[in-house]
Amino acid sequence: MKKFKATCLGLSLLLAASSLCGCSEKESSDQLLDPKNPVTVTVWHYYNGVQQTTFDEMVNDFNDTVGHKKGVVVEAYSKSSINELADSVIASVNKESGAETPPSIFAAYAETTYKLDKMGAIADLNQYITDKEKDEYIKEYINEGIFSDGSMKIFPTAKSTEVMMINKTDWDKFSSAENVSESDLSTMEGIAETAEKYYEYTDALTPDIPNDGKAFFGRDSVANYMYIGAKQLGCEYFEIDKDGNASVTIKKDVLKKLWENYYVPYVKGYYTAQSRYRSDDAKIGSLIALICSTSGAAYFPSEVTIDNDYTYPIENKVFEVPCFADSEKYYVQQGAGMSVIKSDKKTEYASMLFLKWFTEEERNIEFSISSGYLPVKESANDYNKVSEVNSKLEAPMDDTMLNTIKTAIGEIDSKSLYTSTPFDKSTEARDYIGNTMQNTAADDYAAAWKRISAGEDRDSVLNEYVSDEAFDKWYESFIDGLEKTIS
Amino acid sequence: MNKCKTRSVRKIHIKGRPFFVKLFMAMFIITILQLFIFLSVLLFGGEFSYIKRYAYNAFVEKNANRKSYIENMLTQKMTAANNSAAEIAELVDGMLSERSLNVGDMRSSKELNTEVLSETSDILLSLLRQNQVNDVYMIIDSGELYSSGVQKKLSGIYIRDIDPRENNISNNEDLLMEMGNSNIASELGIVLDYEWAAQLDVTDNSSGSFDFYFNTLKTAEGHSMDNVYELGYWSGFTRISRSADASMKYTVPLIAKDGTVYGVIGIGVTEKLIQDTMLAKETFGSDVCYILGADYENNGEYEVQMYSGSLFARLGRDDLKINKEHRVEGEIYDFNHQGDLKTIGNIQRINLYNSASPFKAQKWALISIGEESGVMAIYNELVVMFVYSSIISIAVCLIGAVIVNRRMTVPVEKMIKVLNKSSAESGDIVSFEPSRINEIDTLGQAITKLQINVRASASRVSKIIGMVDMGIGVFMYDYSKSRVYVGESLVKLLNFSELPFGEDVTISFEKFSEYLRAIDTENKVCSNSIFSDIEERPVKTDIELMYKNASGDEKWLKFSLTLESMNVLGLVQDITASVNEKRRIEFERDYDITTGLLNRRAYLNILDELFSKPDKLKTAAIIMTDLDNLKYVNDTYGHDFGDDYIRGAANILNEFSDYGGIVSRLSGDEFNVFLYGFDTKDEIRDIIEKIRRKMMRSYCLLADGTKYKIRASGGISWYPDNSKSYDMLMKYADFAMYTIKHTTKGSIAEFDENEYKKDSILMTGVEEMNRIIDEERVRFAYQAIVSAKSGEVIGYELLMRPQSEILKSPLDLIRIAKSSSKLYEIERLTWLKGLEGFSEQIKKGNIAPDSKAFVNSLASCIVDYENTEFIEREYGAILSNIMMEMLEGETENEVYTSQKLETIERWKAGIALDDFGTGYNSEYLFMKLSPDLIKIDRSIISGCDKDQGKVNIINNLIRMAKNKNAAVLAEGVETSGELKRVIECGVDYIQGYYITRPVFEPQPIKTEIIEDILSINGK
Repeated sequence: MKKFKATCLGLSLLLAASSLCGCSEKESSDQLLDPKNPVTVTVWHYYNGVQQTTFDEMVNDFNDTVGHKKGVVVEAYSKSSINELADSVIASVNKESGAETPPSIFAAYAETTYKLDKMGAIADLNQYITDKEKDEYIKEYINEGIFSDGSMKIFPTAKSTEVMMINKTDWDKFSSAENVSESDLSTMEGIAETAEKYYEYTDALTPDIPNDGKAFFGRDSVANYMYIGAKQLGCEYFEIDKDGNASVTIKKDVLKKLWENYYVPYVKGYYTAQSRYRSDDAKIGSLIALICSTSGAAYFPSEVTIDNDYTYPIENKVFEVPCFADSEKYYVQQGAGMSVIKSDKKTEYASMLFLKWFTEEERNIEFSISSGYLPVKESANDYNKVSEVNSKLEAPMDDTMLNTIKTAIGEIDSKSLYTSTPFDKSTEARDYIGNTMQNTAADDYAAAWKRISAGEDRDSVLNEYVSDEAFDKWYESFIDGLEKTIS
Repeated sequence: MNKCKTRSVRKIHIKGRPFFVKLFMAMFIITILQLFIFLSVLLFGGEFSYIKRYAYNAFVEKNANRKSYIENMLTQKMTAANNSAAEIAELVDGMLSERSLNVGDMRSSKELNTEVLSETSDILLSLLRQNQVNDVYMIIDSGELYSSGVQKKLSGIYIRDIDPRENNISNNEDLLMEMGNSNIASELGIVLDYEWAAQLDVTDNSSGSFDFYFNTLKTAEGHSMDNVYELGYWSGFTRISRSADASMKYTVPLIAKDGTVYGVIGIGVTEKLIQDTMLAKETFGSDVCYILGADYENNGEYEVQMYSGSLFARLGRDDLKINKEHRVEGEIYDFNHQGDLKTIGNIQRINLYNSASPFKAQKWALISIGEESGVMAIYNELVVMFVYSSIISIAVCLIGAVIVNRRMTVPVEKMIKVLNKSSAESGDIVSFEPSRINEIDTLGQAITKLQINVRASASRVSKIIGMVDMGIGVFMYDYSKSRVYVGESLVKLLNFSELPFGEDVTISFEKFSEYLRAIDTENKVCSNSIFSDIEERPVKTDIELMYKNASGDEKWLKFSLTLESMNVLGLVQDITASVNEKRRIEFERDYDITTGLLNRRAYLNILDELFSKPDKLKTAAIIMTDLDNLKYVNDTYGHDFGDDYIRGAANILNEFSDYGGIVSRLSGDEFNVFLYGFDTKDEIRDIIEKIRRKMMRSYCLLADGTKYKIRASGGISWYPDNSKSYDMLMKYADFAMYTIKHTTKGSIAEFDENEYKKDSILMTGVEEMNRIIDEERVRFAYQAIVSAKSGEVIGYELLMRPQSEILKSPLDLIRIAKSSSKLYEIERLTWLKGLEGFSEQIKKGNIAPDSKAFVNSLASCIVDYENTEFIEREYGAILSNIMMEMLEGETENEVYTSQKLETIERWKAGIALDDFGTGYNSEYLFMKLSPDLIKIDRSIISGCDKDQGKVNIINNLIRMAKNKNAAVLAEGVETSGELKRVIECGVDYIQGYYITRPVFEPQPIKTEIIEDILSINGK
């Protein structure tokens, strides 16, 4: 009898102890969930087109399998652009009139999460992830989401960088006719020179019509050009002190170089940006080379339609993004992570369950292949694995996508990824820098060519816009505006 | 085993059943009985089948609701697309005529195509933004303009919004151009999709991807149709490029003013949109799936277009036949009868096309399939719960019984033990330990007290008995010596004249027997029997005997015998007084004092006994009789004469006893006669007839000397034909009697089972409504509408009258129908039964063939295509006589309203606006519907002859109506004053109680009413 009592006591102590352990064990939070009473997790993202379709499929997959088993329903909504998404989240957290209820998860750049965190709205993900799990992810990606107090506020889900793509069919025609080669495309300066040659070449194709040369190049994100270019040239726009206050530190000669290699060729008609994305410009033959996000590579056309009438097939080639000559190599690291809104333990845990599931190696690669976003785990950034997963797919992707990922993995492996440090007004500053360069170039191009088509001499008109005086004027107003933006 | 049983049986026999067993058995039996009653109520009351049916109904209604939701969603989008098509057609017409071109020029000029598409793109975009659709497109029949070689291409524009729920977007960032001119995309800020193409390549239509275009175009070309909207076409899920998601499309042709079909516009919705907007969340992990099906062939079998819910995948979708072949019950079908998984399903038609559409034969439906175990979960759980609760209650009862019994029996057993012990050494007074049970302790104290008292009184009793003359005598028979000791009291009591008076004597048993036999003339207390079995029955108290004494009076004696060791102690009591008293009470108990007939209690006792031996009854009848006019006699002549009247009737009825009948007065004026043991009903009928005749001839003399005739109504029910239970028979006879009494007094009727049933089935409103709908139990009353000029009948309003005891009011019926989503059925009955009745009345000649039929239509419902077709086929001749009454304030469903208007136009029928003048938007509706007639509401007409304000309103309404050439009808005219005033105001038609009430068989209008109307008109 005594023995029995002792055993009972021992057993109950053991049970109590194990349940205490359970509290600290992160895995066991599964008991928060109830398959009969599923918790709904809403995700706001900015994926569109192919990415959205793929993401929706994965969400369905999750709901049918793990979600069904554990009691989580994920509902995904696309907010179409990252800025719109940020505004909606802030409005919803502020409970502005007409705003929706806040999502459980949203795709966010550091700036947005930073703002929302100040409002106390972001959950610390450290509660739901172990250090061992963290180690599986690319360190830089994780670090981007760790805030100064050590809390983890952004979870990396899918990253992207930029690649350069060319319409090889038209390039081949051009390069065989003129003295250009692919090596000319390895620097930004080389691109500008080649673009000039291409303009002259296409202008000459119709001798009876003057000044009808075509643009060679375009860039989806001018802001990336400005930030990465400056970094390559050894300088950043801002210095941020301990308190998070920013001051402008960009040097005039660096801006001059950036201006010379975008504004100047743009005004001259060598570069262009007509549609919303450069891939659309490539589709209708407005340009033949472009720098786009890896996630935009899927839209690079397989045929070109001229004047909405004549269509011909093309081939393409993917290159690493060119840097300035004799500069340090830097590539942009972009793509929002996912932040979780503070709510209750159950929803936060369910949110994290989905995010971890979504970034599991093979699934992450599958998403990469169809979307162009890059996997976030160290082990998944391996081209061999990517092509292996691709070959197993029901509908394997074509070479364009594989080459894009291969090129991007090369860029990542060079360990020279860069992303700017967020501060209070970093979003506005970024918008200002990119838009000012693009808008002044586009406006001045329109003004100059209006005069040229009215009969003024091309060279003298263009010289007015690209002179040193013109730059000084541009520089002053640029810096002035920048100061105002961050103050 | 056997041995065991015998022993226990004997034990019980000897000792009687233990206290424990008795109590326990009682409780156990009560529990079982309760369960049995509970179960019977559930089973025979039909509760289980109700719950089952409700589960089915809930399943069907859920699907119906979802179907309505989808139907609304799709029809809204259709309407929007139709409107946009009209807008675009107008815009294109304008553009072309400005340039003196025609649509044919779009086959030769690419610039024109681009310009047209560019101009119309805004309309398409707002169609996309405002209506939550995934796709909008416009395709121009550009002929061979863009084709090259075998490649056939068409100009157009096709825009997709992957997530149309997200509409809060300032620019067009979320849109993709699948097909169309890139300059337009650039102007609108729309991104080109991966597989973007400038034109639509329709070269390969082997998979039907472009049927949406070709079918619409071909059908439109083949139809000359006033209404372009009727040419809209829904196609199933198809995709226009390899990678884009499939969408289901609604396509409307673009038709130029000259009738040339030059293209289409349309909208598309993806599976995801349909799932997300209504299905996604609820079907999570559920055992129900929903299928959108289309029956293109019109063969009753639905092809799956899309589905939601994992159940469908589990069923194995290949061999599933979705049709109405295997009906389970009502609207429940089994589509998977060959599969292992037991499922039920329901099909709800989605009305996408109206009857004029060339695609009307293609049917769409929402189909729900549920796992039976899931849908019927409540039912199944209920059954299980019932079983469990039964088991638990039996167990609780058993345990309770054991505990209570133990507490009761232990103290009693203790008492017995103590008593047994004490009786062994007699003489001591016994007392008991307290048991803590009040009654048992009191019993113990009483026993103790009794012992003391007995001891004290025993010695005195004999003396006292002898002293008092209380009709008691004692004797003691010592049968070992065969001698009888006779107490002095007995000698006195029995008047044993040969024995000395005033002292106890001892005589031989033979002598004693002799004395007894002298008084025991009926040989009840035969000496042998009374004493011979005394060993088996040691105590006898039930021997009574009657004898007549010298003066001839009846005397009653009661003998009580007790065996004590070798002696039989005897007590003889004179119980004459109590016997007489008992007899008197019995008579009063069993007979009615006024009539001397059996009263109800005695009568029922007799019936009870008779019915326990049914073989003696043979053919029998219960006759229920009720005196007519008793109240009149009572009230007029007083209750004494009322009693005479009752007695007179009772005397006649009592003659039934001559034929072996049992006659009883049940109460007041109600009599009941039971005749039995006959071979045929006719024998009984003869007797009844004989006595009835006699009653017809008899009367009762009243105070004023009148000979008041005795009259009664009667009802007969037959044993065993009507029932084998007398109380049912009484009820039936009563029913038969009341039925006849309501028609003709003074006669007699036999029970009619059908009539009884009709009267007595009570159900709840919903069931009644379902019954009314299922059996189409409605009739229509007709209220005449007359001309205000001539008084001639120009038509009738058809007023629905449910044929039901419970739901008499049509408003109640509609209210219940509304709450159970059955309004549609009411609308259907209104049209089908209304027109059926109306045509019958025409055939009978009650209604003139050109009379208008005013039919009240429910605005929120529309008769479906099949029934409309039926109506058109059956009642084609009177369709143009129909005036459809629409209720103001019930026109919220624009789609139904426009479909109704379209039907009315096709029938060349008219529209009447009902209750006009009471709603807040009368004028708006009036303009919108352009009715042929307005009915001024009764609230305005009522009292208009005394209220100038109302007259002003009437005048205004009439002016408004005349402006639009609408006739005016005054509703609810109830007085001649109102009639005069409305005619003076100038209404065209009149309806109201003053003219005639609604009746089932229309009659001609009374001549004085017509004359009244004519005279007001000055004729």
